[in-house]
Amino acid sequence: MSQQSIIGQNTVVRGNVSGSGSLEIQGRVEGDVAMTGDVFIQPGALVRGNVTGNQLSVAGSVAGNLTANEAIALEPGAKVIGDLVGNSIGIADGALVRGLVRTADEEPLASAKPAVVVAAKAPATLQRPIMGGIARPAVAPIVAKPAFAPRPAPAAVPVAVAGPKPAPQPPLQPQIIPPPRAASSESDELEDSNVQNGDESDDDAELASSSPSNPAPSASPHASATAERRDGPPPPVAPALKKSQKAKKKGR
Amino acid sequence: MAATVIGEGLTIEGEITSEDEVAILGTVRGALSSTDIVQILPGAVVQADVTAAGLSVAGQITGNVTASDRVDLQAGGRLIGDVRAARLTIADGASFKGNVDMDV
Repeated sequence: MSQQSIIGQNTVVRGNVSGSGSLEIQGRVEGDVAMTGDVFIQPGALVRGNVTGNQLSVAGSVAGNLTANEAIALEPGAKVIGDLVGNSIGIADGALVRGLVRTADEEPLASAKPAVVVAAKAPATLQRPIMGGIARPAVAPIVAKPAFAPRPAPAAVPVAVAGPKPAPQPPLQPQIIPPPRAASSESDELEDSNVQNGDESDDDAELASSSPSNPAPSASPHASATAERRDGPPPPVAPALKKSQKAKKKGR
Repeated sequence: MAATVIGEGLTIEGEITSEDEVAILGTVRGALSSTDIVQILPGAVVQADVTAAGLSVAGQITGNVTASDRVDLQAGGRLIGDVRAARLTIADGASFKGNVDMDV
């Protein structure tokens, strides 16, 4: 009994609740709850704040995120507006959830490789948050490089874009090759396409990483090809403009 | 047992308001008020002003205490702060430092 804490039906706590042992909430808590033990949120209880615990059992209402080391169980009548994160999550018939739900083992959260499994299983809508939580570090540099490099000097586009490309982006090729038009507009499109494809291609890259032979060999030829193709357009563009300008001047 | 129990190992930083009996074995910082009985049990640390109908103290309180009915400071209990209550008992072995106002 000594380890069991109860916040009774007619009790309101404004502030943070933390500690070891288990906690049963029947009343109201306006603040964060962080326990190393289990947390039971009973019918009629209301928690406004994030709840962290080993196992969470929710039959009341929570406006905040639920994070469990082990399991989250939403009982019938539970109402959660917030994200659920836990190794195993059970949502019973009659429970209401509005938020992100993420089940994961310890390892996927730590390293990128198991995250592939999660990404593969998860529906499309869930991928972005998952990537955000897990694999952002991998995404960010890839997206950022092309965005920064081409801007100042359009002439540098082929080099700068070709640089980051080789590793993760076989699927980019079809989309990039078609628009070899004016140099300036092309660079913008390339940036966009890179940004857009950043997420997808990253997923692909991670998915592909399960078969390790893929990325390196397949990517390098593509990269060189694109570099050549993109080297192509700029030289003709400049003379063409000059000629037309000269022609106009001469004409006048 | 009381309807609300703040067990040992539990820390509440903030305000507790209750209409039921409250038993504290853990730590409370902030404020604690109940319209019923509040028990500060051995091992509890309360750094808060406490308002209750009745209060029994076997743990440690730092803060002012107000009870509409009574305050019982039990052996081993430790109270630093002013007491405002209709009745006050202080058991042998309790420690207490503060003013008493029984003129409510």
